[in-house]
Amino acid sequence: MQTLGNFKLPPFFNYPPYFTLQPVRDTREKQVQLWKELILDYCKTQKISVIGLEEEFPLFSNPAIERSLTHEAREAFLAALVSEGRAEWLDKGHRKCLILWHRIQDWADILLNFVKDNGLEDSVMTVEEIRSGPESRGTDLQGVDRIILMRALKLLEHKGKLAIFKGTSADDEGIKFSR
Amino acid sequence: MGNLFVKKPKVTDVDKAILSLKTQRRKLGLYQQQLEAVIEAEKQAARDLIKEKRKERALLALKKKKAQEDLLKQVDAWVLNVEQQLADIELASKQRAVFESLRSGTEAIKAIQSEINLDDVQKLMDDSAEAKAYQDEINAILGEKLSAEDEEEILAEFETLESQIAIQDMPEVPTTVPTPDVVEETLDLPEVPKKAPVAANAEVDDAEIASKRKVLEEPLPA
Repeated sequence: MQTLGNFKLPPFFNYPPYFTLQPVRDTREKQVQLWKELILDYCKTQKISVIGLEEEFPLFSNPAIERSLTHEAREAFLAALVSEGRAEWLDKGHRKCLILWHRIQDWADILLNFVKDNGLEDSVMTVEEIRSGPESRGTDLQGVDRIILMRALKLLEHKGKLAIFKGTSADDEGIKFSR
Repeated sequence: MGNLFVKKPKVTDVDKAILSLKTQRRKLGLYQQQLEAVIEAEKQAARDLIKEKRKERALLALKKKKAQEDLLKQVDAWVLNVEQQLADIELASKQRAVFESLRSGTEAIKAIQSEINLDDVQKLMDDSAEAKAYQDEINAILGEKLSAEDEEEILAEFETLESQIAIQDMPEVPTTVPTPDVVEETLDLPEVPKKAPVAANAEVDDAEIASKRKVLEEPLPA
């Protein structure tokens, strides 16, 4: 099995047809399904949260068989993820896509568990600390994409679980967790 | 439509202070990393320069490294200060929380106690004791009543019953095995005199003895 870095690629990655957008509906559905899963898996293990359609994305081409996904194909697969709720377009031109290998609600739950596990109720943390501090080492929160983190935090703020605030202008954004 | 009042936690000045300190800690951490990188680079540069036999430049690199190291030491001290202050704030806020709970606990006790007047309690205990004493009196009187009046009646009834049973017992004896019963009766006789003390009883006993002797004479000739 080929690998991309330390990620094991599934067998279909080596079959040229899979890199061409299939016209027949049934085969197209199967193809889309496989690519959707592959994209989510890959992004989860590599902790990638944003895919730029016009950029070089290692997953979208296989030099061994000299095939890569066309722009149309990429857009099709990502659009499928968007309609499933596992991704979001960051711009109208569909050039950048936010990959939600955890849904925002899942991230919110992860955050709540993080607060509980570290006894952070009623205390203050900076947003950076959540991403890169000692408490998040080894968890999914380590190095989490800022956009996704802010989305999850806003969701929790809306539910009253925390408050986002800023001190002086020099400060990081802070989070106060409720008790 | 839904809860307009979203109860977010309140952000106090203390929280803002903590945020400032934590931001500072993070920035100092980054600065430390920066300095460490420069120190390492200068060290490497010095090594290379010594290899190239450029003593002056090597010494300069080492001097720069030393300056950066001193700076790093100072930053380390600042970081410790910031950490210390964060810990102090944490401790102070926990102390305040403990104080608050103790205070509200004390207030709760006071409120409950204020509902109970000490005089009321004393009166209650006195009333209770009075009621109990009254009850005991009633019990005593009821108990006495029973023993004083009825006891004599009961005793009399008891003796009557006893004599009746004794009389009943006599006729029965012949119907059953004579000899053992006779022995028993002879045993009976000695007992009778024991009840002699009261005059009434003595009369009864004499009657008993007489009746028993009569009966005794009957079976023997048989």
